[in-house]
Amino acid sequence: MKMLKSLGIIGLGGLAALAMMGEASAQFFKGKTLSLVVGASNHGTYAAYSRILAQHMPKYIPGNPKIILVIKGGSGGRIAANYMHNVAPKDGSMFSIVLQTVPVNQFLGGKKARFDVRQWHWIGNMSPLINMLALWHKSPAQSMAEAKKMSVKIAATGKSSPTFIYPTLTNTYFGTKFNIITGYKGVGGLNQAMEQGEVMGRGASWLSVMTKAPHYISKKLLKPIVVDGFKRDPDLPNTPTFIELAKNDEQKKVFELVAISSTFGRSFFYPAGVPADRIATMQKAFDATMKDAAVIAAMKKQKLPLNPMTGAELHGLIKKISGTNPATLAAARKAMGVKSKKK
Amino acid sequence: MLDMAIKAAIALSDPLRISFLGLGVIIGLTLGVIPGLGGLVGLSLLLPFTFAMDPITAFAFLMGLSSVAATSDTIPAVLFGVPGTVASAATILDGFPMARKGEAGRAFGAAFTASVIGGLFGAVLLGISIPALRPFMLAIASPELLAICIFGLSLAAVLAGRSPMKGLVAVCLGLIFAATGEDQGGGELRWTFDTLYLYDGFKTVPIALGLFAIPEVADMVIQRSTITQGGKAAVVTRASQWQGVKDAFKNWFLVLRCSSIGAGLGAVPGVGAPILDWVAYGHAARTEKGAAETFGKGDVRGVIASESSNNAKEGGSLVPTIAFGVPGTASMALILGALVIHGIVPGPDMLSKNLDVTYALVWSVAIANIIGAGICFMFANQFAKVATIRIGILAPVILAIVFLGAFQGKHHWGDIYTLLAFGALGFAMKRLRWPRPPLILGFVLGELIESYMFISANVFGWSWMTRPITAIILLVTVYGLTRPLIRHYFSKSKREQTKVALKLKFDRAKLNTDFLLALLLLAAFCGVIYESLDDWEFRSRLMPQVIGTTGIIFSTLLIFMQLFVPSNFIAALKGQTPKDRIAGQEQEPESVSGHMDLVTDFGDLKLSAIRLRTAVYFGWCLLYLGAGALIGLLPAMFVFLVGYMRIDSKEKWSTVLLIAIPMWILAYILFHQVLHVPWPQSIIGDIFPVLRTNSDYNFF
Repeated sequence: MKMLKSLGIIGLGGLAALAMMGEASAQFFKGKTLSLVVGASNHGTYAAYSRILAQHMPKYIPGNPKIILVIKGGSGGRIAANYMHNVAPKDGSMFSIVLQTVPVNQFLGGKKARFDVRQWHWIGNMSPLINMLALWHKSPAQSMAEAKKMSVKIAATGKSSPTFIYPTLTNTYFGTKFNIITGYKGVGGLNQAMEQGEVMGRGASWLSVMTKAPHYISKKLLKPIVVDGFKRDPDLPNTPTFIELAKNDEQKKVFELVAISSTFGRSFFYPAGVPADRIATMQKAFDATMKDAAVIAAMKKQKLPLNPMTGAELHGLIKKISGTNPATLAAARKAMGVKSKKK
Repeated sequence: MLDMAIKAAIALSDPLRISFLGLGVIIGLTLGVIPGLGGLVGLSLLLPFTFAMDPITAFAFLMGLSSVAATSDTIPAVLFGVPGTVASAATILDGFPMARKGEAGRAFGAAFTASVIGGLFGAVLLGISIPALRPFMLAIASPELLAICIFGLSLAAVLAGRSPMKGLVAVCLGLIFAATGEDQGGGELRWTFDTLYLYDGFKTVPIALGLFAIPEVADMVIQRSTITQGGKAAVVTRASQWQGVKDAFKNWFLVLRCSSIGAGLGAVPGVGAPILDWVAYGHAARTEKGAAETFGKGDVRGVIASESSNNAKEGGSLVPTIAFGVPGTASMALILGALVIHGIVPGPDMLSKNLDVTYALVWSVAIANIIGAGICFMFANQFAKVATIRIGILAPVILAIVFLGAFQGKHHWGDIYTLLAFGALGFAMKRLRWPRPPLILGFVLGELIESYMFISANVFGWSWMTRPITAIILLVTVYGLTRPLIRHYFSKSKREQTKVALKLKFDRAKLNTDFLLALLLLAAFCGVIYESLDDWEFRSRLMPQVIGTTGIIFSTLLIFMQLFVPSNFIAALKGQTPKDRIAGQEQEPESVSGHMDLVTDFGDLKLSAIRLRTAVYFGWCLLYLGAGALIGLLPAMFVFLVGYMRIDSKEKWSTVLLIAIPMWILAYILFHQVLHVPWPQSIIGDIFPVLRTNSDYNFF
């Protein structure tokens, strides 16, 4: 009896403490302006997702703070990541989104990082964005098998971009003969190059086809041959994933690592040091925002997919990457053409 | 098609839509005047406000904003020699000397007229070419773009003017700066010195402000005069503006040519604002009569050339945006984003289903240009009064804004370092008569040339040069480059031949600062080659090695000529006769252009005084930097304003505070509250983290 009583008191006390914490964070957020630092360009989908979040999330945060965007692109998201980790206020008034490749790249270690994603507090992910590789309808090769027999020119933006990494992976592991031509500017540049006949295929996300050139799909001008991710893309049920095509365990592990990178999609985080109650408040508000009818409508209008993931799921992914065995990391580096860091 | 154009015009004439267009114009004009800010900042700030509008209202608002920043950026360019946006850097060359001669009104009149005609030209060209847009864009592939960029680079020869060798070294330097950072194609980090800032290279804003604004303010400070020299009043009267309007109409053909350059180059993705004014200026300098003597010294045609091109670009840059969803400029990338937000897909739909939206864009550009120029005409005389303010007050105010403007590059301390480093370089170049325009040209075109070159070579092999459009552009380029030589050869045969024997002789007096700068640059090029030997991929090292080697050759040649070749031999080589020199005409013959950059004459100011004042000026700049690191950039602005005006200019406390306090409050509202600039960390903020907890004052 005594024990039950004391348990009851502890339970009530716990509830009260939780309520007070909620109260405290509501006090904190009330009348505040939160900054959402976007570590990408001001016109891409990172900014588009962020704008929708900034518009709708405030109503789910106790105290209804305003959220404004601060664009801080550059160096593949590293400038913003570095800023968030080392400079940004740690009181919960500033959260951020950086390129989806940042977490995995920290472990691939091609470029120097002055931050540690393992210490970040993940708020949530609006949607993983799956990359793919596709061939233009005029390409002499129309399948992976045919691409092993002849050289096909593939357009890419830069060496650190998925548009380069994916055809490189298929060249290394599946023996395709893609001749990857880098230097194109953005998805529009890739599309134009295909239409001009300079190249016969391209990578990037399937989303970029749906939003920027939907007639490629309706007129069957572009044929995806492989997609990234753990599961097949619901929009492309007949296209295999890299993981399905893996021939051995090493390949499978490398592809899983790559898949984690795109699973991060449009994820938001707090830097280390933000009080736990504020993180919990934001995670809860994020999850609620994802179910908001207005958000779903806005995403639909802009043709942006919405497949939310919670902060806890993202933390799980980070654990998975940091537990990757060094041999797999080395194999991934080699297959993706990442140069190892110089002394 | 015509019915669609009319339908769009009627839709746009809705009073609410026109009001939003007008509001956009006013915001765009305001941002254009402030160095470092421009249409891009305004667009990213206001984009969220357009979510709730209907598409046509949203685009009227956004296009109104982005179309006119290039109209009002003329004002600081003419009055202070500080470009309002990067698009008006070439306007300084003649606009600023005109203001110093007391002709600011005329410069404004000509500039605003050229701007509005240019803007309308761009819009009309876009409007009538809509049916042909996609075929046109399909014909312009990487080889054509490469040829266009090479043509642009070739104009460095004109812009180098009297000092071709220095111009070539400056171009090489610009190309090297362009190659800084992670090379997209090869994936190497090129001379980033292990700093995060340089990972993705330099931004144009701090470089342009450093090269042009810092030296101009320095010279004003050294001279200690107001901007208008010789006591001429800087009043901008209606009559003087009208004179400028007449100038623009008198040179209508130049306006049309430069508008076409602006619209054409605006359509080339990546070229955009930072260079098309230079290309237009270079074109005018090459083709206008007597330009060699008067350009760079306050020739109204220089202003007209630059200003008609930079407004025409808006229409041009809509072309690839509409046709392919390839944004021609950074601002267009945001317009593209806005299209997507409103569920409009760029590409074929814009030319069929959504043609009314396309025409609404065209009309918005046209109307915005008219309203923008009208407002500028009305208020130019108010702005011009600023030029009569004592330099002791004006200089710190301009500098303070330039510092904050440069920080908009990447929101990183590196922006301020870049500003000051390029400020020092620009100052040295200006004093030693090294042309600065070729450096900017090389910087902007470097990256484009590198990527288009690799694409063209990989896709087409050598046949990229024989594609018809490419071949024509390349031939025009070669003709442009060789024409002065051919004309020089023929004119020489007509002139009295003077042969001066080449006698190499070491001239100790030439071991001066000019020599030192050349030596420094030579060392820099050697450093570039040395770095690139470090196990880089072929693709990453090819351009640096070619440019580095070229730079070494030219700078060595320059040093050799400076030290060993007597000046009378060089003069004879350029076609000067001894008679010219005896008659005191130290001018080059027509075939060799004049110096295409600003020159400041310090009169009989002693060298020691110039040196002291230069040191004090740059000392203040460093102090600003130091104070920024200590207490934060925004608080440092106040300290700098007060310190400079009180200690250096010896102004009364009342004057100091009357200017410093409102200026700081304005900057606080604009940069902190409206733009939400993420300020760099300062030492005081590190020590007292509590200073960063409140968003109203987290600028430490």
